[in-house]
Amino acid sequence: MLEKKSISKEFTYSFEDPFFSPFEIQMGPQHPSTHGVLKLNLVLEGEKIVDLEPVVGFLHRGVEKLAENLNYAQVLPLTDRLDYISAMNNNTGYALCVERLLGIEPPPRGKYLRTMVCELARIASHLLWLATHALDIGAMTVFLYCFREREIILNFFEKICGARLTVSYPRIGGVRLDVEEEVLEEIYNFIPYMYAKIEEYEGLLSENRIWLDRTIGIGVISGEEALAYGLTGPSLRGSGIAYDIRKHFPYDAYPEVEFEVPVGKNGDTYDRYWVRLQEMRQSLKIVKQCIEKLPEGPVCAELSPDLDMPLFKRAFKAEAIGPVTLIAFLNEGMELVPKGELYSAVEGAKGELGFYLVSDGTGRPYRLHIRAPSFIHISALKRLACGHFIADLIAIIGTLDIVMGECDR
Amino acid sequence: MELFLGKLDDLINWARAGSLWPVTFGLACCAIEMMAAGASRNDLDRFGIIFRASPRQADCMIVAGTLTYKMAPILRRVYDQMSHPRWVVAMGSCACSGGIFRTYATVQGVDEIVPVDIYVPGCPPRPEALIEGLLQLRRKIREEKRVWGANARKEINL
Repeated sequence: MLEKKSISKEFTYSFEDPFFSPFEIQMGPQHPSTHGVLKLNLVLEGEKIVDLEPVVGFLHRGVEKLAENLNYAQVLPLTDRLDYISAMNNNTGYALCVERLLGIEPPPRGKYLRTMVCELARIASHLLWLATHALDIGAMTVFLYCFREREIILNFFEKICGARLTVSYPRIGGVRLDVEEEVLEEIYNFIPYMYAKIEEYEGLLSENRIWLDRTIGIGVISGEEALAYGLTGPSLRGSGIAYDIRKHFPYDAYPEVEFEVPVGKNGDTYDRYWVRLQEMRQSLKIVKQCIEKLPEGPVCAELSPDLDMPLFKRAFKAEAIGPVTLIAFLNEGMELVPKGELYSAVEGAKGELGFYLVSDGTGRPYRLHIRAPSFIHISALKRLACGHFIADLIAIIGTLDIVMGECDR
Repeated sequence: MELFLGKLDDLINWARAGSLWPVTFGLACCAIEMMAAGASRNDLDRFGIIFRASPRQADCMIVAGTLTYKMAPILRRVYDQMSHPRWVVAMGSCACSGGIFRTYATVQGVDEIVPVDIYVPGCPPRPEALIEGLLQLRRKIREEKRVWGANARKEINL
C-alpha cells in the first residue's frame, strides 16, 4: 500500500487512488525565479503541490576544501563569494572567528566601522531581496526603485574600499583602511533619504491588494516549528521569536548601540516582508549611531596578519615587533595559532551565519565549516510549500531569501 | 550581386545588433551585477537589450558566474535550445577561466563547454564592464558576413 500523507493536514493522496494522477515536474536549475541554481522536483496534482524535493549542489565550488590550503588571511576573499549580496557580513563573521581563535581584539574605531558597513550591507541585501521578491510576484516598479537605492549604497562601498560587491574590507583584527570624513558625511546625509524611500516601498506594497493576496497566509510556519527546522534571521523573527545574534551574543560594536528587534505575528510571507522592512529602519538607526559615536584611533589591531602590506613594510614591521611576528605567522614557522576548535556566529542578512574552525596549530585552518542559513532554510521549503499552488511556490522561495552561493558553498 | 549581398548583410546585422536579447544564465555573484546592469542606473534597455528568460527567443547567452561540473550539462542544453545564430558572453573571471576556484568541482572556463565570443573579466565585473562587453559583441555582429539562411549555423564542434 503506497500511501503518503502530505504535511498539510487536509490534503492527502494515495498513489493507488484511480483519480489521482500525479504530475511530476522539475523546476530549475535554470529558472529566473529560483534565485540562482536551485532545482526542485515537484509532484503536483492539478496546480497543487503535494510533494517537493529540493536538489542543491549546482553551485558547489569547494570553498571549504579550498580554505584548508590557504592561510587564515587568504581565506577572507573566499568568504566574499558565499553570500555575495552582503559580503561585509561574511567577512566580519570569518574575521571574528579567527580573532576569537587568535585572541586579537580590534581597536574601537575598527569595531564601529565594521558594524557600520555590516548594517549598510544588510540594507543592500534586504533591498535586493525586496527587489527580486517583488519582481517574482509581479511588481516591476519595486525592482527598479530598490536598485536605485542599492546603487547608492554600493557607491559608498566603492568609496570606502574600492569594490562594489566582493569587498574584503573587514579584516582579521579590524578593517583594512580608515574611512574619509567626506564619505562618513555622505552616509550620514543618506540616512534620512533612505527612511523616505522605505516609506515609498511601503506605500507601493503594504496596502496593495495584489501584494496582500499573494503574501498573506502563504507559507505559514509557527514559531516552534520554525525553531525545529532551524530557521534563523528574519524568517524566524517573522514567526514571532525574537532571536537575534546581535542581541543575544553581541559582537563588535553592537552592545554599544541601541536598536530593536522587530518581530512578526503570523509567520506568513507578509510578516517576513514586514520584518525585513522594519529591519532596514533599525539598520539605519545603527548606522547613524555608529557615525555619531565613532571614536578616533587606529582601525586595525597591531598583531593582525595583513597580507596587503608591501614586503619591505612587512619586514620593517616584523623588525619592530620582535621575533614573534607576522612573517612567522604566515610561514607557519612558529606556533602562533592555538590548537582547538571554535564556533562563532554573526547575524548575517539571511540568518545565523556561523563559522566552525578547527585549528591544528599551523598557519592554515585544518577544517572550516560554514553554517549557511540558506542551506537550512531550503530544508523548510517542503513544509512551507506543500498544499499551496505552484504560483505561491515562487513567493515562498522569495520569502526565504535564498542565496545559492552560500547554500552550496 | 556582391554589392547587393553586402547591403543585405548590413541590414541583417543592423537588425540583429539593434535588438540583442540575452538569455539570463545567472549562476553566482556576477548575476547580481548583471541585474544591476539591467536595472535603474545602467539601463540596458537603451541599447535594445532586454533580458529574456527563455532560450528559445534569445540571441545571446550571458554566462554570469561560476560553472560547476554539475551545472555544465544544463548550460550546454540551454545553449543547444537557442536558435541560430547565437552568441555567448562569458562574464566574470570564473566564467572566463575558473577564477579563484581551482577545485575539483568547477569548470575552468565555460569555453570548455560552449564556444565563447566575448570574455568580460573581473570578479565580478562592474555593470559598465558588462555593457562594454555587450557593445563589443554588437560591433562583432556588425562585422559578420553571410551569417544568414543556411549559413546561420556557424557551429564549432567541441
